[in-house]
Amino acid sequence: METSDKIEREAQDAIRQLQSGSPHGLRRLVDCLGPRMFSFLKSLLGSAADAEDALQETFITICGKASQQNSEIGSVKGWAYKIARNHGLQILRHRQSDSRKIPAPQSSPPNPAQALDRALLLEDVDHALESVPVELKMPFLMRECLELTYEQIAELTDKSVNQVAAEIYRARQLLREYVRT
Amino acid sequence: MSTLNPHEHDGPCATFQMALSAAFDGEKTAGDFAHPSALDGHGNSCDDCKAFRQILECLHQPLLKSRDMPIPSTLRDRLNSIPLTRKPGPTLLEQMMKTLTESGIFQPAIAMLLLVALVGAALSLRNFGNQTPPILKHSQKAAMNANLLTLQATGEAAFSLPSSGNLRLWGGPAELTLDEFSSNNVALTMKSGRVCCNWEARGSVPFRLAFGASQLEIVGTTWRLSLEPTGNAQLEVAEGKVRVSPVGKLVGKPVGKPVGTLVAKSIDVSGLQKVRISAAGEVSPPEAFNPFVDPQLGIPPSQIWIGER
Repeated sequence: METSDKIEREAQDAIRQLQSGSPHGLRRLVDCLGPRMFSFLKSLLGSAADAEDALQETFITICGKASQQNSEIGSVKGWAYKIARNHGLQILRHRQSDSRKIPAPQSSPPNPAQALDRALLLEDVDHALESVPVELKMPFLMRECLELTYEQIAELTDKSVNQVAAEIYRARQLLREYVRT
Repeated sequence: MSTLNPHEHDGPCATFQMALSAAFDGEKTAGDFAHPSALDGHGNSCDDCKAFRQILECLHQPLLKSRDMPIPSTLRDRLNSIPLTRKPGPTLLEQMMKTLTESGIFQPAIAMLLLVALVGAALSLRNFGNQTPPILKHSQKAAMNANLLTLQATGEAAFSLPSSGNLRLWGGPAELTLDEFSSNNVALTMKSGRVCCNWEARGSVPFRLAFGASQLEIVGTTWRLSLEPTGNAQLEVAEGKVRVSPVGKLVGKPVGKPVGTLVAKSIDVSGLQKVRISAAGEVSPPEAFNPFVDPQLGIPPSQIWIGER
């Protein structure tokens, strides 16, 4: 949480510089929010190229709307993350024409009590995430990649805290099944 | 999606695991699920719940590493080159004006300065397009030198506008110049070769492409233009609409003018149509064009739209 507060303070300073038209403000904002948003979008979209596009669109929106953002009121980080989430969702909607079905685990279901006997790689998790419905993986990734609290996620996604908790749990449950198959 | 209530499902396991999941995230478990410590007895004896506890950490570690990794340097450069909407501080001219006004230097000096500023503004307006560098999103087997884009046969280049306009060029080889690429106007000139293009913009951003003696006015669309060494060209429109307007030599049928005066005639080419355009800018009647079997355009029939969106 301390890291999270540090990021928020840095983002607030950076947005103030950006509002005065300083390119240094943009660089600071890219450095402080970029890595988490990129990680979030990459796992959400399952593609680094799409994540790069979404992140670029996110920063274009941030630069365009920076003057409207009051860094004294509300969270700059939350505002930026919401923009990133919306651009991620936009790309996912474009893809909907493919009407991909959620693939079921290929092999027979493993014994639920069976534990993983190896450490997971990011590729394993990203691959498994492809099979998790977006409404479950969104809060899960907001928690894991953006380090938002359940309350913050609930606020950004217009849901109750209990609903967020349930969706994150359900995402983990599905991921658990998929990483073992 | 309805709220998942663990009590409705498989009893103590779901309740315990949901509480465990929330506790792992440092959340005070609230409302209708218990704190995991209240169910420790179950957690210690249930293999499934022990395995779930382990998976939480296994899933967390790779994502934790990922979020702390710096973004690729090429992406960082792209992001840092996003044009800002406001200028940093007063311009040199503004500073000089302020100094002159404050120091009480008499009117002729200010008038002279204003004249210089007006000439400067006129020149900068003429070159407005060059001041807004296009945002290159992707570049694969394509080179951008100043405003000249060289695209190889299997190359691709994508540009975006702050106002959410997206331009994708592929299917070369081709040479094009990006004369202007701003939210007010997009103007390209095709020098040689063949190119496929997809253009989408929110709102109406005028998009013109000049080549030889003709100019294309493009409304959000996908098309291919092939220039031949003879100067003739072929335009194949997969979706949307392209208006072909001859410029330079005025050719075509006289419309409402005395005999002997040739008038440029614009022709609208809709999706699923193709036309040939002569070096002099003469446009042939549209013929049918099938983009579905075209490997370069590769658009499924269900995604085609024709005319203006």
